[in-house]
Amino acid sequence: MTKSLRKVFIGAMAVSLLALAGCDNAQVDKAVDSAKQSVTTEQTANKDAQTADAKAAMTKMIVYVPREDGKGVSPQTITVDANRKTVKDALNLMIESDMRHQYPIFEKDTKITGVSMKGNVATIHVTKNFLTNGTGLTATLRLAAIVNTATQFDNVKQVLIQAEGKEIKTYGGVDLTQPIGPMPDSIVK
Amino acid sequence: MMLMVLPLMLTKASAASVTDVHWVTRNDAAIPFVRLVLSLTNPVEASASIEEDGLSTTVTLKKTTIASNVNNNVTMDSSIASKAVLQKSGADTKVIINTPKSIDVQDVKVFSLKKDLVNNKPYRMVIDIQKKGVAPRENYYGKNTVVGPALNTTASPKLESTVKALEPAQQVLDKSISKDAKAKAKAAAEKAKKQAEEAKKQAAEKAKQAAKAAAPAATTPAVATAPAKASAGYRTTGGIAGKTIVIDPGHGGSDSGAIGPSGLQEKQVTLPVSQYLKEMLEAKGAKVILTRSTDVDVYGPNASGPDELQARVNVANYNNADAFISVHINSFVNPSVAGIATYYFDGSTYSKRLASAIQDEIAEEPDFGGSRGIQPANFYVLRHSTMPAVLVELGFISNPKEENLLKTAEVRKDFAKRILDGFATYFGG
Repeated sequence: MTKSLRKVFIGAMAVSLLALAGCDNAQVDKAVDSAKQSVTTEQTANKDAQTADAKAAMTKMIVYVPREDGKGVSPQTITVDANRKTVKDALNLMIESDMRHQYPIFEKDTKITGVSMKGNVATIHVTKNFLTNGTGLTATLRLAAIVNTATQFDNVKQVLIQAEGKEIKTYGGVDLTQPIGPMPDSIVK
Repeated sequence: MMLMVLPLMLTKASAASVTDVHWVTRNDAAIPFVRLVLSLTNPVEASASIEEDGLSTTVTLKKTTIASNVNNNVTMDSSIASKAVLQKSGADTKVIINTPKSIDVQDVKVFSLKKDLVNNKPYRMVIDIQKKGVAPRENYYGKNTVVGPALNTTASPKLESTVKALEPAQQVLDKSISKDAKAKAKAAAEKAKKQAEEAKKQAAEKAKQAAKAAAPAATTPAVATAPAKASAGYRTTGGIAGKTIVIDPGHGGSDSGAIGPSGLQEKQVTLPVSQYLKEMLEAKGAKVILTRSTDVDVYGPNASGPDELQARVNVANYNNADAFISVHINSFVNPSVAGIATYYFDGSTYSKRLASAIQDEIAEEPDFGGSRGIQPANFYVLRHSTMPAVLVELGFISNPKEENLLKTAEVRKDFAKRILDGFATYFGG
């Protein structure tokens, strides 16, 4: 006689792969290079004429760069091509500026891969290395640098962040379940 | 009796390998349970069975191998699930779990977790075994779900939230629960939702009324500045005795927090400081609750940020605490940066007052980098708590000098004593 077992199926499943948005690093690099190049446009043969053209095509914007002493983020004025005055370029230039420090706050090769707008809320798309070492004051200043730089633009009032296509809900303990606005207390002039 | 349910395949499962096994005893749930987590290279199809004597549960992972470095004989909690053995069975892997008491299907839950690219977590299969023969704890304050029967067909409003919380398992549960039971559960859930909305309205009204009635030095002020701050029942005067204080030792379990240059982990400091503080506050007559008293995650291993942090907030909110403090150690890329800071949620008058009282004390800790001041911050645990709440950063674990100081019991006790003094100043009396 076969022994009766209480066999009960409990769970069976397989999980689907997440479709991930690719990171267009090449495009980002190109954008940053273009912005940098614009600063040196004046070094040309036909100096007077081209300087005038370059000045007409250039504009200034403020980015908030994390301070190495951890006291906050400091405003820096950057001159760029007028058509490069975008949230994405501003953020990438901010990160590039941070990378020149002895102790950069952002991880190496962190890039902003895109910015999407919904009303006055900008969703900032970052590469995965943004998530590395995102703790304590390091995390707070990364957020302060991003949020304060992005909200310099008139059409941006609040910010959300996505890494690799997935919304970041908390970062270093900071609540990102709702869009966050400027962080003026972190600005050190 | 044999009940069979066809396995659900969301995608075609390919061959997989178990790459890691870890477990934890969760004592913070309504009924304690052991959670066994298997890391996997790919999603797998699984089935489970319980032997007739109820002392052995087998979970079969189809087309799955075991990586060579994996411990295939895991000793666990002798009071709940004493051992888990992983063994190959043809193309499959069987996980055989021994329990000291006879269990049945209501005591076991199996579900999978997707690969988490944000938190760098692999595919996982999770097996929960509940402790047998204990009544559910009444003051359960963890996540808003039950750690209960996976196939419970009783119409319960909690069932619905359990299903939502366990996204991958939802599909299985939907298949497993009979249509009738699902309908009952749905009706119950809708009723519970209406009740919850009504309760929320009443609480909001209560807070509104309390705000109107509150005098400047009121003992029950309303500071409805943060989302979901409906409770207005906390006290701010009259001394420490009789107050309910919730202490949250930052990080824990699968989350080490920041790590110092010599390897000290943030969670290794936050817990002892919190335990010292608990003893000291209790000696003054306070009722003190820790969000965790051992090295565990409060919600569960590798949980999302909101789940883990909300579980900590729930401890304070559900216990109507008079104050909440989250204990952390700071970190920064520049190792020379040092000092002590306290954070509060902007707009909460009493939180700011508590932050000042505590910061004034802890900032004087000898040999540390001094005060970095009190600062408003949008920390999750501060924003979502319904009482005055602060988060302290007791130095920088990334600073070698402060890391070394934080290793000593003397410094940990002194920080606890200083926080105690801060509470004494805040509550007065």
